[in-house]
Amino acid sequence: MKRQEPCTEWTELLALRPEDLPPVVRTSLEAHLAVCPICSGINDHYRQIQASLETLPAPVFEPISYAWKLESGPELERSPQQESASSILERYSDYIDSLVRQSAKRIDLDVDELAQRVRFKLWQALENRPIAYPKAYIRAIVKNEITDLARNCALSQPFLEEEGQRLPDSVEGTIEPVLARAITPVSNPFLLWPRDGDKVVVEEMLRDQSSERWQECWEFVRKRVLAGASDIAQHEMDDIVQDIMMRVYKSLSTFRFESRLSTWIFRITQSCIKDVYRKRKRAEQSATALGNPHDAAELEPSIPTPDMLKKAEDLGLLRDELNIGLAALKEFVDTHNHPGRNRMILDMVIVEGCSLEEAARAVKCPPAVAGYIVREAQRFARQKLRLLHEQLELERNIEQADLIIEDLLIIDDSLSTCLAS
Amino acid sequence: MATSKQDSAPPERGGPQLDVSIVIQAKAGDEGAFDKLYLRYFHLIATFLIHLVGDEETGYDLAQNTFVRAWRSLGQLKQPEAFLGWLYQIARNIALDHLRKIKDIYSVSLAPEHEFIEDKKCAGPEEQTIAIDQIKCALAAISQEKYRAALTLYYIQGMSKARTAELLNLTEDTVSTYISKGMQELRAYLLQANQIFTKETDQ
Repeated sequence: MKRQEPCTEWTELLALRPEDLPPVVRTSLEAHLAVCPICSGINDHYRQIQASLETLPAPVFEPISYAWKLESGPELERSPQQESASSILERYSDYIDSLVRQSAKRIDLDVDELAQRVRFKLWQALENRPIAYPKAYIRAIVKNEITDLARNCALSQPFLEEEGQRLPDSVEGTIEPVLARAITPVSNPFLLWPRDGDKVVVEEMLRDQSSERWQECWEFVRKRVLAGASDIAQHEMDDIVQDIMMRVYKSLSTFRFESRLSTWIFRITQSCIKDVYRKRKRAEQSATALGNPHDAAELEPSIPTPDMLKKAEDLGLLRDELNIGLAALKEFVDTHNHPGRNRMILDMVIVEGCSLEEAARAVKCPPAVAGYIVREAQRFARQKLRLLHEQLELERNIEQADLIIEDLLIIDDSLSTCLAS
Repeated sequence: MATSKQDSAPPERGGPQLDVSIVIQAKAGDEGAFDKLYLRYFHLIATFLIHLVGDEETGYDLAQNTFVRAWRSLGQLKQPEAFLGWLYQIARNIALDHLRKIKDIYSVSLAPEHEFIEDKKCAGPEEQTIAIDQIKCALAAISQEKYRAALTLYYIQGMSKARTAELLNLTEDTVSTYISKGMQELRAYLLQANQIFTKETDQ
């Protein structure tokens, strides 16, 4: 079935429930559907989807009375909100100091000044409204203050993964010179632009690709990359900057002015750097998992301990599993339509760790199709691996059965000897 | 399927009527009153979250977290009559946090419930199950959480456009756009999937 687009003026109305439309609109829509086969077909499909959505089963879980309270625990009880701002400030003063000191430990910053700024912000917030969890609020203020400093001073604080795990630091200790640079603020043309000036800048950038703004943007991105990914090689860094600039160029027309332009570009930069670190981490992990068996053999001592044997066995099993998985993926590609496209999608998503969107873009297909291919291939590979596990289980059972038979034979021998004597 | 829904879920589509006095009592620290709200709205929030995150177990957990967080911050609720919208906002924030956390894992290894059912042409009562699985997959494949939230409230929970807009803190026009975009993505996904199946079956 070929996908066709509905007439523009009816696109939104077709998606709504017909009974929700005002009578006049409904009548016009019905009249249009009678003459437009494309919209009529889409309408039928939408109603089928609506029926499917409406018949999705409801949850069968029965809530237990007071279950919400059991999970909240005593420490999550609501705090009294009658306390004055100054007494809360006094109570949390030590906490602010220690948190600021801890957060700014690696950076040469004036801790007292930062703590004072945090106190001031907390006081401002307390004056406006009660704060149920001052500690959480203080943590957020400190984080924001440090982020602001990082942006303004090209701070070299390594980015954090979502779980709070730190991404790899510089391998050769190059972090120190960057730290030293952090104290000197870098020139940032974006910070000079007023908030409402972003519109003018964006318009200029969209209108004129040779505008100096692009050069300024490139410089801004380069500095952020330099600060955020100091341990990355120069050529790789240029690629990242190029990649970020491409993303900015492609998406600038969709910028909605909900934040500063610099914030938006900063976010793109940050996510690109995160991607680079993630890819590197994945590559390191897979390199460790697939390590050359000969190298591994050289490193092993001559008399392996049972622990090592177990490890070696596990490693062997893992290697077998990987080989079978890869063979299964190859088989999947060979036995399905569009082998070239599928191979590229699987390579990008499973091996290189790209997102579905990236893979879909590369092969020019919808992300949903890329997702479908990946899921199907994974399912196929899982089935093959399940067979491997079943085979191993069978072998293990046969071994055990052999051992039991041996034991029985020994017992039988002993009994015969006893009886004979 | 509609009957089973009626058996197990609260009877009204769009959720039970809000009793503001209970919210006021709960806001004053009455645990019994909050428990009434919990029992009354748990299904509504759980359904919303299950479809938002695409996983039943996680949906229940997040619904539980929503009520824990709601109890903790009930003191900050300024308008008791806006309780439900506020509760949905907490649920959305919790779901977004969760989706952000699992983003990487989600894009590479998908849980079995997101797998497509291959044998689409099988006859009999399984067809309905397949259709449900298919629509769940399509819903999970929607690119933006906001479209999924709008579709869940409007179609799955049967709310009106105005109510959906109120609960998601959006204008009605924006809700229409989100529903339309969500439906377009659902349709594209289902068409694409059907195309692939047809090709493979022909082969």
